Amino acid sequence: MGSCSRKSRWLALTGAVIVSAVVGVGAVSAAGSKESVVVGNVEFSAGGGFSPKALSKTALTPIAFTAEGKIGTLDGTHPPALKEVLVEADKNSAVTTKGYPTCKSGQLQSQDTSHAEAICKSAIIGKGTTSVEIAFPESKVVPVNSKLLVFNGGESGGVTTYYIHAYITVPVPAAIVTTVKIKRIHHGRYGLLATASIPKIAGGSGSVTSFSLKIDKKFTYKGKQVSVLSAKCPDGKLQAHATAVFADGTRASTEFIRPCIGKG
Amino acid sequence: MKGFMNRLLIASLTVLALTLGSVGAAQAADPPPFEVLGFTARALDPVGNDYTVAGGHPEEAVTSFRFPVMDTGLGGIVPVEPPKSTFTELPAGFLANLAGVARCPLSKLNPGNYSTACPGAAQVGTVGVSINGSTGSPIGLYNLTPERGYPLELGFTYLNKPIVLYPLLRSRTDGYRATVAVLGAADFAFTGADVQVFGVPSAHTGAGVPGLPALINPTDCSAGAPVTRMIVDSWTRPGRLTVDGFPDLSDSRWKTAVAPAPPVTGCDNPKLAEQFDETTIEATPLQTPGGPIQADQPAGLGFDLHFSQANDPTDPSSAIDPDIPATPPLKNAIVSMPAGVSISPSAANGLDGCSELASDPAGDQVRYDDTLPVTCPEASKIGTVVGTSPLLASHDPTTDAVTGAEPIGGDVYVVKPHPGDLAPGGQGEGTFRVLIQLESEKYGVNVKLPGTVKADKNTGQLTATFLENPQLPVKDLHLEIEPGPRAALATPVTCGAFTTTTDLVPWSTPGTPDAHPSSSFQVTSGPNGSPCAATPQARPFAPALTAGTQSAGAGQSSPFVLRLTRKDGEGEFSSLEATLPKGLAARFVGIPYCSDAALAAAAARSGKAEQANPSCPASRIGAVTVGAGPGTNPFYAKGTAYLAGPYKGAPMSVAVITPAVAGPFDVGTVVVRNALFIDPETAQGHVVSDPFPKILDGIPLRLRSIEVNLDRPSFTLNPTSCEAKSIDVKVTSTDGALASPTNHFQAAGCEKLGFKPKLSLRLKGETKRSGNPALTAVLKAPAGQANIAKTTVLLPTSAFIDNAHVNNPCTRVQFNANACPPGSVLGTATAYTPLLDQPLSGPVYFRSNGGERDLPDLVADLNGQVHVTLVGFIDSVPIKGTEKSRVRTRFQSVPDAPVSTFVLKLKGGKKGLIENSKNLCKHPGAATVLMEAQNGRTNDFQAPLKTSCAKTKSKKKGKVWAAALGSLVGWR
Repeated sequence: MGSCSRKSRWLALTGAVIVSAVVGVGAVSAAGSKESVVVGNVEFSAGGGFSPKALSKTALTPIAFTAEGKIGTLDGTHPPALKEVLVEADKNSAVTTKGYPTCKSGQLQSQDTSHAEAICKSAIIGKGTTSVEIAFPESKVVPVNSKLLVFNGGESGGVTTYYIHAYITVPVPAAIVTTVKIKRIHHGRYGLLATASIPKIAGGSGSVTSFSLKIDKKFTYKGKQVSVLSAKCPDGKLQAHATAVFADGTRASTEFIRPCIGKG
Repeated sequence: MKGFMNRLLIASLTVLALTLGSVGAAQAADPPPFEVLGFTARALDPVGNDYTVAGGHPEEAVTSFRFPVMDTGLGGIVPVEPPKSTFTELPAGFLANLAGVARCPLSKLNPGNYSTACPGAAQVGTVGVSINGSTGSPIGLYNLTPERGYPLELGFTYLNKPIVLYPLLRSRTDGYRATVAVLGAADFAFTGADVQVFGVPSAHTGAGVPGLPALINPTDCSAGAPVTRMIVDSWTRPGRLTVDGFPDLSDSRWKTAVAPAPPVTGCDNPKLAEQFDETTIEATPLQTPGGPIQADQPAGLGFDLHFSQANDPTDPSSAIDPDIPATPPLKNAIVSMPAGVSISPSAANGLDGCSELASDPAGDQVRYDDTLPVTCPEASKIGTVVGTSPLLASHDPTTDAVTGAEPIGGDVYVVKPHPGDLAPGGQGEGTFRVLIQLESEKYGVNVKLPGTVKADKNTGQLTATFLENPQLPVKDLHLEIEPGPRAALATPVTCGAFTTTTDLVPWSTPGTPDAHPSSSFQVTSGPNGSPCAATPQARPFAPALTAGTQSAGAGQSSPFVLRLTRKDGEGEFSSLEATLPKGLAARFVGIPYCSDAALAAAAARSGKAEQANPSCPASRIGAVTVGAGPGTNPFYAKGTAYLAGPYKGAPMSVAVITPAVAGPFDVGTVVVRNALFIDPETAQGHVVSDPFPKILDGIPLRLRSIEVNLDRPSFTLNPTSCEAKSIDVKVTSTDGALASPTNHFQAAGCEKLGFKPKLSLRLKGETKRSGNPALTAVLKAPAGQANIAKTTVLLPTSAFIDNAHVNNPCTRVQFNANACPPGSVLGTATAYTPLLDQPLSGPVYFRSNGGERDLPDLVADLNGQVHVTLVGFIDSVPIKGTEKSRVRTRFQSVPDAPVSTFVLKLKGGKKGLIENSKNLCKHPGAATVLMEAQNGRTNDFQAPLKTSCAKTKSKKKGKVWAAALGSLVGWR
């Protein structure tokens, strides 16, 4: 569990951030607070946290992760589409999926939420909601809401995969599946790199404007209760750095630092 | 009989004398040829010198002539040939006015006994006759009461025979010279004569008005030497006469001699100018007698011209003084009508023209070279004229005293145009010809005055010109162009004062200045008593519209008629736009376009040529009648509507070709092109005309009505919707006003039309979940049924829209610029319609809609002879009780036009719009099709999605689909 946990610790926070990044730029913040970044005309704010706050200084502790955020523009226009999110996560966090059921991308494609849930119910590790703005050229902005389901895609070659499924019915039925790849890095404070490639929504005319997500799945593996996300608190904080790449070339980076209480 | 015997005797004697002479004398020389010798003609002053004062009054006029003679050998001298007729042509403008001299009845000229009973008061001169080698004493020359057919007669008695001299007026070609004829009366062998005419007869006779001159010199100082010509033939070789009784000089038997006189002088005599400057005119439109002159109405014209005349024996108040020269006659008259008075097109109704060209099929009906009345058709007569001259007096039938001037009547005719008078296409200044004929059978007077009327090409203002008028004195000339609905003129469209101006040129020009009398009239009322417009822009403009098909049967073909009219006094049509009702269709099958080249050629043709050989008979789609002109009887020109090709951005056009032939006038062929736009989404026709001609060759058309009758068999087709519609027209006036008349339009009997179109759907290609199959939809509609109004297709839940492929929609700007990005092409569509020769086809785009709907539209961009876009709204319809939804495509505005087959193909694969959410082979599914006809009928059914999968029996057919349909109420 120890070595495995070390690796997984990093993955845990990274995965959470990436999940949020599916719909914007991930943010880690103290509960109840949001951090805003403005790049050019794009403004996004994110908030979230984890619980419990008191974590072992040395051992990974299961956590429940929540994230929420908004993406907008200063002038109120339709925000650019999010193309990719790169997140470097704290080396004291981990993601654990080993022993947890997996789901394939193909199973999720072209499925509505109920079908996706029915087909890969056991692989769900989180849920949430998102709002998307679809703005075709010369057209008004169409707000679309969707449920979010986060599926475990499994681990292969040191890369853990998550799938985030959304199903919109407006203006027409369509399924959107985002793939998140998480791998280990050695970059100072950061130990994980998560890359989320976000498919075009409505052919590129759709942009995420808000999200709300919670990942708290716990499961039993080899007789032990484990969590897909866990963390420890050796120095009183957890830290992440995220870069969001928009379709119009805008790149926004920010760093999130959230306090924790180290125990033991 | 007696005369004949005398002539026979004389002739016999002469022949005998010639015979005897030749035999008896046996001389060597032949007799000299017959000719005129020693001919002199002079106007003299009191001392016997030539009198040359322009317009002046000579003391006397003398003439003398001799014929070659021969000795009879019997002691007689005879002319070599006995003279028969003599014609003495006086110089143009040299006149004898004997109206103030007493007249002697012809019966008194020779009562017998070698004497005359004519009173001395009637003597106007003397005659000395040469006979047998010597000239006798002068004998009296008398003013006779003219016989019917002559204006004047002079006579004397010689050898107990009355010799009558007939002063005649020659033809226009001959300069209206006075010619004194002695017609076959010289039936004695005279060999010459000396004639004297008194300048002031009263000075010789002591009778009549003292000092009243009788002779008048010409007033044309620029004409050179006045020439008097004598023409004579003989009994031996009589000359041929023209149809009007004058010598035909092409016959060499006529012998001529001329006697030139010194040119007249003193045309700058202030007295000439003073006389001429007193000329007055009055010009007034003629409408309802006693009523006000109304604007914008047909009108005749009353035109009075008055010349002051001194020494006028027909006017007791006239000044008598031989020193006062005669008023120089009017040489040229240029009369400019006020702006606004124009030729009335209404006048062309029933109007004919008089031909004055020998090349005309009707021949020369005027003949300026003779003095016979014109033979113009009655339909060419547009007015009357009455003139008076101091030369012709009326007399008391009892006392024979002069009671005034004798009126000479006549008519005004329209003369057919000469080549070049009217510009091809009607774009030039029009030259119109008229003829005034003053004619008196009683006096044997015939004066033909040709005139031209120039019509300004921009304003229509008229300028009438009469050139080279006779050098004859005129007192008054009253001309009336007939009023009435067919009057030749039209009054201005506004009220106000209008002035006619003139430039009157005397024969004594340039020594005598032109006179410029003018005349004004007031237009004080609008047409038919309506209010008066002060400016053209102030006129009302409310044209009336009637339009529709002759038979209202839904879906049936029937001629379409559009008629636009306006009242007198309203603004005139300049152009129009007509928006036809939805569903009013046209069948263009088999109709070739009238080419641009053919239309250009038509515009350059004469109207008659176009009438004889219409430009594009195969392209004919209807008839057009254009009413022009004010009043109750506008002139209606018949034109033809042809189908023509693209024009001014429209896919096709309607060319109206109208031969502008009105009465005797052919102002060419008018081509007015009308762009025919087809609304791409409704197939509604919208016609935009080019500006209508406002004026043709100077004739303001004053368009009153336009009637278009699209009567080509099976051309126009009624809608299959019986909703109330309208035909909306926007008419622009020549003054820029806009009117928007509209006419109700409604087809009938729609309920009789069936509605059973069929739609089949096939998915081709990928059948697995997440695959993108291609879709082919084929719709077939039976003929004779109601057309489709709306179609909704709900795909089964197995069909998603591929999120990744919903990209690159074509913006409307790009679409309108025909520049949609390739990525926006979803497939193709083809529509087959019985209205067109070729199907319409084109790409199917994903096109933005400006936010009217959430998702861009599916647009079939159908091109061909016309451009039609079928717009499908794509959205989703939730299935009750689930989070699922179905893709719905709604064609909400399908044109009301027959389509036999419509094929829509959407791409599959990488560009495929449809994404399978299920394996099609396991879940074949069916689309729900909801159709609504233009007549309100519906046709709803399930269309199974055919696939390339092996056939599997669907257990859900039948009842299940029926149930599904039931749940879709309200989903159209």
